[in-house]
Amino acid sequence: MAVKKKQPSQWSWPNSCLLVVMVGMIFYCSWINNKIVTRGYRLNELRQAEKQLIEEQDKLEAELATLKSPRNLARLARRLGLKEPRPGQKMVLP
Amino acid sequence: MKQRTKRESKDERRRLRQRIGLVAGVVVFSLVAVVARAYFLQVVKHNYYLARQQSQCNSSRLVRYKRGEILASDGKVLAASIKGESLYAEPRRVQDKRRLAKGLAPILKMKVSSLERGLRGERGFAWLKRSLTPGQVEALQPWCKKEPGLAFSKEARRIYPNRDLAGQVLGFTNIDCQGQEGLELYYDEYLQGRQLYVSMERDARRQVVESSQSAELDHLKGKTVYLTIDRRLQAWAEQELETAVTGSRGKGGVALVMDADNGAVLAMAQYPRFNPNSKRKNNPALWRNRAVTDLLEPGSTLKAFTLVAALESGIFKIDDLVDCEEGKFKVGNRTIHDTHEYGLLRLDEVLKYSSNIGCSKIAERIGAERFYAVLKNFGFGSHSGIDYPHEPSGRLRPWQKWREIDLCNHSFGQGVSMTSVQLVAAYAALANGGHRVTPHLVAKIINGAGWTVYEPPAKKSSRVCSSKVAQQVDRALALVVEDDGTAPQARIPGFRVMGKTGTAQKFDFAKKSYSHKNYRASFVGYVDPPKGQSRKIVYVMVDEPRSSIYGGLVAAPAFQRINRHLLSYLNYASQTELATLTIPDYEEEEAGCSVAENGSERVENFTGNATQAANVMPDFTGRTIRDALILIGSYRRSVKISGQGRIVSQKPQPGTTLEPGLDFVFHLSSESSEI
Repeated sequence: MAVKKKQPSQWSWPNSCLLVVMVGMIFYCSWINNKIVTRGYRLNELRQAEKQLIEEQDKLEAELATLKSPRNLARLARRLGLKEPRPGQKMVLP
Repeated sequence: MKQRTKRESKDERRRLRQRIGLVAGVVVFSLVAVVARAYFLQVVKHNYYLARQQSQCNSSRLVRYKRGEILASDGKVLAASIKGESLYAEPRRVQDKRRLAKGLAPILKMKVSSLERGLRGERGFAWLKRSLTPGQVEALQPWCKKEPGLAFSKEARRIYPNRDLAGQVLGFTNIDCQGQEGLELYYDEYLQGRQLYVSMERDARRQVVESSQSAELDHLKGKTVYLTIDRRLQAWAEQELETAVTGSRGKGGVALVMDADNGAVLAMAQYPRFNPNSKRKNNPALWRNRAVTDLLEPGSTLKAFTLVAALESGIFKIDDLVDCEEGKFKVGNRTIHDTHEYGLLRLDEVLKYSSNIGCSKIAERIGAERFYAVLKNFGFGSHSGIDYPHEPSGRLRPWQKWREIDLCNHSFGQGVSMTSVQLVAAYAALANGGHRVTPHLVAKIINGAGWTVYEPPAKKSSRVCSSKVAQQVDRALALVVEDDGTAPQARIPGFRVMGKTGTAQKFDFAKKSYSHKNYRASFVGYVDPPKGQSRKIVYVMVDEPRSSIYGGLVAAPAFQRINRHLLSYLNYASQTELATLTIPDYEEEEAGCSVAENGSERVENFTGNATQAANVMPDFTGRTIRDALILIGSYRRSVKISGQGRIVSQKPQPGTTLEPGLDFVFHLSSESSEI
């Protein structure tokens, strides 16, 4: 009676490679997901910072407009001893 | 032995198979159970768990986008929104409410009782104070750290960087940034930022992981409104108006500058002014923009339109003579008076000398129907169409309801009422050759992307009088500023000035008659610009002046000063002409006016003395500061003034020889007095 030849294992190296790739994919997806969340936090932080900077800019622009208002400039000029120029002494720059 | 070993091995294999089968069964069963559970959760209960996940991770928040800015014609900010802190409390988390209220009261400048009222009960939220100042925020930081039920919330706040510049024109918003008055109200629809629910994903610690909100979505922000108002002109107009009102000890005033070609309002000043940043501190009566909302009788400034009606009717020619009856003219049982006794006057002289009788006689000849039609054509008795809220239509009754005296009264500006803007718009039609214009304050509105979404309608303006008549009236108006006209103070050397004075009695509603004490002094006119440039109508009105009641004395100097700024600013004058725009020789002009309009002997003597002794310091004691300022214009010296009322002492002393570079100092009595 012929001895039955042992069948070669089904778990060959391509299968192993596939398994490694799948595990790698799982890790990669987890890493990507983690990165998305981390970047989401960072993006949110940056948006908050941007918002704050815009608010700060708005305040500074308002302050500048107050300081450059015609009446304020006239008041400061008077304090410095300057006098209202006569029309002939005035030149409005474009 | 061998057989026994074989059997044992067989049994062992069978048991092993049974165990493997059992384990496999358990594994398969478990797998089936897991798959069944997964199927149940993912498929059967899909919607339920999806909703739970979304409610836990996703949230949305109402975001109100920034209100648009209001800019002057030069692009500088007049109104803007900034984020500020507001303080709120969670009363149910506050332990010692009394102590907290006592601690916060001095910082918030509020009463302890009102703070306690806010903290009362077990509510989850209560505003304590909105729109805090940076100083208050700093002082409140330690309180927020130690008190868990106290926190800040960021809110938008409307600010007006130029403070009271064009305060009434701009109006203001409420605490929620919704327009309440002025242009803020009229253009609220454009200025208001959109409200939007923004979704965001949060983690277990409620931190935002991702938000769909972009920091600045331009198309959702409020639109930017560009005004026709020029900041510098506005400031000059306000300054000169203030000088005119305080100098004449008036109650208030209005000044307007309008482009005659297109109706763009370049300046709209009012005194007393109003600062929209602190509206609660101001009297609500100051919120109103009187130039647009207040009806007033124009007085003699309406006479220009009587002249238009006369010339348009074809009944009169400009050089026709009108008998002015030597100052008294009876109409029914009433008598109309002139300030001076005039005999025969040409039509243009009627305007020059501002004769009430002359105007009455003209109106009587052309008839009520024709006169009414001309007034109506110029926009009297109806809305001017200005883009500003609460504009009343003027009051001009149908001509069928006029009595004989009404026709005469209307011809010199009594019994008919209009707003300052309506009057200026009518003068704009005269100045541009006869085309009616629609006054407007907004030049354009642009959205976040820079597209223009609104521009004032470029209507084809209707003709209200022929260009020939407009030119004839122009020439008549130019006579008003001549030496013997009613307003030589409005004259600017080197320029052709046209205008008309107005001295209108105010109606006393208590006595149901015209007041003999309260007047409105006004002047409206324009200067001939270089070719190709448009005329600018300048209007000045002083309410209840006390030092003098006449438009030529009170309002015309302010008109002249505003125009001097205007001519220089708009480069309408060459350098040579500008050099002549120095302080005019008031001496001569004042003398002329005193004869023509005031008739005050005191003023005549006053100027006469000054001319004779040009290098000797006159005696100003007992005079008003206005009189003094008019005279010393010719001396070209700096003046220091202290106090109010009439002059009680002066430096240099009367009779002193005036040395070059010496300044004048006047001390005034504190009590007010009338001429």
